Amino acid sequence: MAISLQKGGNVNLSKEAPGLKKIVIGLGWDPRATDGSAFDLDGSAYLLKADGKVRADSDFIFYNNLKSTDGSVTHSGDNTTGGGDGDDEKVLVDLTMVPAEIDKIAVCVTIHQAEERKQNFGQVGKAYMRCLNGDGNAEIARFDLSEDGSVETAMIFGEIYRAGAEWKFKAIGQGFKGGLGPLARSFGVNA
Amino acid sequence: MTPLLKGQRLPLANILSDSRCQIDMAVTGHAADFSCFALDAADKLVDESYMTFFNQPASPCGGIQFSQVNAISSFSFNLNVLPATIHRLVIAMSIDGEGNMQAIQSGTVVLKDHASYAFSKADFENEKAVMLAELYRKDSQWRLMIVGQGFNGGLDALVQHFGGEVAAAEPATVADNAANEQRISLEKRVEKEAPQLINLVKKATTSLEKVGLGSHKAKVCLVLDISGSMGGLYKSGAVQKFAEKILALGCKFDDDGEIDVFLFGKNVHQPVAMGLQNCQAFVQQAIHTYPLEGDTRYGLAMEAVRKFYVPANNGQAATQVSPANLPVYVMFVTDGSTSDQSFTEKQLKWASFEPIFWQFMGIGKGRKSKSKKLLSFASSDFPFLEKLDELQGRCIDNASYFSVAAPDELSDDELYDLLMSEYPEWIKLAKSRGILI
Repeated sequence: MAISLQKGGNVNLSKEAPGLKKIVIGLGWDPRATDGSAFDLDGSAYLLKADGKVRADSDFIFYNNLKSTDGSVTHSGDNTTGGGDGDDEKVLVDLTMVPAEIDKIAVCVTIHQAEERKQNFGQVGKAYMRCLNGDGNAEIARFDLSEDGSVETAMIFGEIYRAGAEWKFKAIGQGFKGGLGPLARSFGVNA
Repeated sequence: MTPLLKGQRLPLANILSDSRCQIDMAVTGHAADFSCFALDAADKLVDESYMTFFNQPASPCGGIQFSQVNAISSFSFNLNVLPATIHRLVIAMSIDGEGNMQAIQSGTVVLKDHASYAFSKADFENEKAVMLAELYRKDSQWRLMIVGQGFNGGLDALVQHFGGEVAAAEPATVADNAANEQRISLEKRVEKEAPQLINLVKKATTSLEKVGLGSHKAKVCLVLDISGSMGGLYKSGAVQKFAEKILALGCKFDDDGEIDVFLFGKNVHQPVAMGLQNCQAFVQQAIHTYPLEGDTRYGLAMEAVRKFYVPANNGQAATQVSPANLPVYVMFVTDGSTSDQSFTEKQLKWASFEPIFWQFMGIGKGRKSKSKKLLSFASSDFPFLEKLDELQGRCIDNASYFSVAAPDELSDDELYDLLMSEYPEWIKLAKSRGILI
């Protein structure tokens, strides 16, 4: 059963779904119906050490680096318009393959060229980010970006993190000033 | 006042003390119209009666009211009385006439006493109609959102966006509404500038709607005979009154509310525009400038009219169609026969390839009179006009003719009906031959 998470809330994935192996982060939005530049939302994930930084740039998973070297995190590829049914972009995390030195995986969403295109999440129709159990696709957490992050252009959606031998998910829902580049740099990526 | 950004959401439950709120809109740099669309859960217009704007200033439930004071347009909402089917109220702005959002300077949307959104042309591109803001239900509470997005295709595109399966029908409604808006604004002008014309415009409207020309557009031209025999009619004011009736028709056909008046006798004079502001003593002044003359030359007048509206043909022979978007309705008034009959025939034949319709009216006695008393007369003052009406060798039948004993013989309704007796048919023919596009 899906747990509705509030900002800052967390869920013990290993307890909620014993034997949980995979997590799917889904990002979806409606294509722009009005005239003007398309809304292009990008999902990204960061494999982070205990200090909150990546080991190397290859730990930054996004549309130009679809798979981590260890194979634990995979990005479904770039959707530049929001067209199509269901989640428009997906990030898959195989918990069993995450290297021991990785303490957490941050999952984020940014609007491509938000500043140039003068866009924010509030302008995008039905934008959301959600976290699913990779086995059976039960929804664990969901953020309505259009409503809750309306004036933001980048957001740290949540973190999948280790708590001893278990995995937890924390819903962060925190806006971030700047685009994908600055966000990646904040995690130690030399982008 | 909280400043709001494009895309920003504002829950109203904590702000409003009851279910009422007011949103004020203003724009500088270009005229614009504001409208409010009530949408259902599928984001479709619930029905046409829930498009609130100045010509339909209240929703059926009374929960949405439009008002305008000087440069400020306002929507007042009583959210509690709205039907539950309404999930979203979109406030839109459409640019009046030509141009798009680049024609404006700046504008504001103000949730009265609470929050405001300021925009300028830099926030937009070439949109002609934009959604400025919307009130919507979220978790059974109302929220305000600043939208700031729109369509280059204007209101049509906007309504299509809200229309779903009614997409094909809705734009026509909007076009009708746009025509209505134009009419309303012209009627407002008539009321202010020439109140004596109000009833005439209404009667003309009725006659036009009967023949399906309620939103038809055309230039209207009045050609007046100033031969000496017309003197009495000018003096009595009968011509002035008649000209006002044609001006009223012009107000319906022509959004600038003006008609072009040509005077002819021995000579033909450059047209003078008769409009709402100068209509009062127009004919008297015209006759003062161009006193009555000693001859009647239809052909000369027709040549001048053709030159004026179809400059490419320059009044010369024409054997090929001159396609145009906007037709010209010529009201040609005379009280006698012409001295240039063969030239007149040529002119009418050549003009049959042009987007000009000629409505002749003879003042005197004739066979084509509506008055039975006059019909009984065997003789006619206008044998030539009767012949002209049936003239062979034309591309299409481009003329109609009737006679009256006096310009005010017919009631206004009868006159307008008569003026529209052959014109609709001519439009069809002209379209089929590519004269009208």
